[in-house]
Amino acid sequence: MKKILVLVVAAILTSMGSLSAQAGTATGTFNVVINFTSACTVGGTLAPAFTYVSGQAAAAPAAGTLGYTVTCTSGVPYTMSLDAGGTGYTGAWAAPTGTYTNTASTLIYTLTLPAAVAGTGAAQAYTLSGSMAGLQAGKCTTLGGCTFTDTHTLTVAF
Amino acid sequence: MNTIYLLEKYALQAVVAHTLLFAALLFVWALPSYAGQGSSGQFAVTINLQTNGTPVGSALIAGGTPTVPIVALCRSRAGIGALGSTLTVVCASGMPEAFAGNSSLLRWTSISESSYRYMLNVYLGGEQLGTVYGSTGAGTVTSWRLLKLNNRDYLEMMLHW
Repeated sequence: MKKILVLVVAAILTSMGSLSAQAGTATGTFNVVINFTSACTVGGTLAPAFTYVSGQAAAAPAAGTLGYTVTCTSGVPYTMSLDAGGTGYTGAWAAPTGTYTNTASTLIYTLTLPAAVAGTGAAQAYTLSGSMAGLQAGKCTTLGGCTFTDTHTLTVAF
Repeated sequence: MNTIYLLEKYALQAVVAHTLLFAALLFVWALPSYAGQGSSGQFAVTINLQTNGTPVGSALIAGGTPTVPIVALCRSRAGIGALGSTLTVVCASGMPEAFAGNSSLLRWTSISESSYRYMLNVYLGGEQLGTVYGSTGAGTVTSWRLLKLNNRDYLEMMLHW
């Protein structure tokens, strides 16, 4: 009789062990959503300066003041443009060149932007170029010379 | 035959040495902009226009006092009409508003909004070039030459009368 009892207990324990093994593991999946927005910034020092004598040949702005940088998200294509006129000057933008007339001096000049490439995530250096046509008389009422300033806007679209 | 030399300033590019300070304006860029908006910033273009003139009151005219106001476009020594004399006229171009007009023995005529000319009763090839003014004598242009000096250029007109 005692032997039978032992067998019954052993069977019960075996059965319990079998039930525990059958519970296993449950798995599931979920998503991580990244709302990634590309961005661009522009920086640097840009201050083109023309020095022009009435009637002289064509002139270019002084070097060293024409560089700027654009930093855009890697892979993002973008374009650059200039304004089409502003306070104290008139003009028109036809990529890649803007043609402007300083109202006070009547002097005409152009500004040209380089071709833009896709962003790399790092600062990309660019150089603006400009030209003032020759044989312009200009207008100045101060003996010796005058200084005029036009404030332009450079836009990076992406 | 007497000769008068009329020295007219032709160009003074080397005389004027104005040093103008250009305020290097930094980009004032906006904070990073996002897709579809674009990023923009402003910069200044500076134009330094030199008028090819000379400061009034310089020592270009030796031995004489300007006979036209100090703000005049052109100045000269008095003495027109004196046989054998030398007349020097110095002009500061690009100063149309500064010209004061007829205030001396020399007569000036506006030929456009921004330039003036001094005319003697001059002849070239038998053709009269200038308007007759009562205070000037009759002369004939016989030669022109450009004098290039270290710091200035002159156009010299030689008259015979």
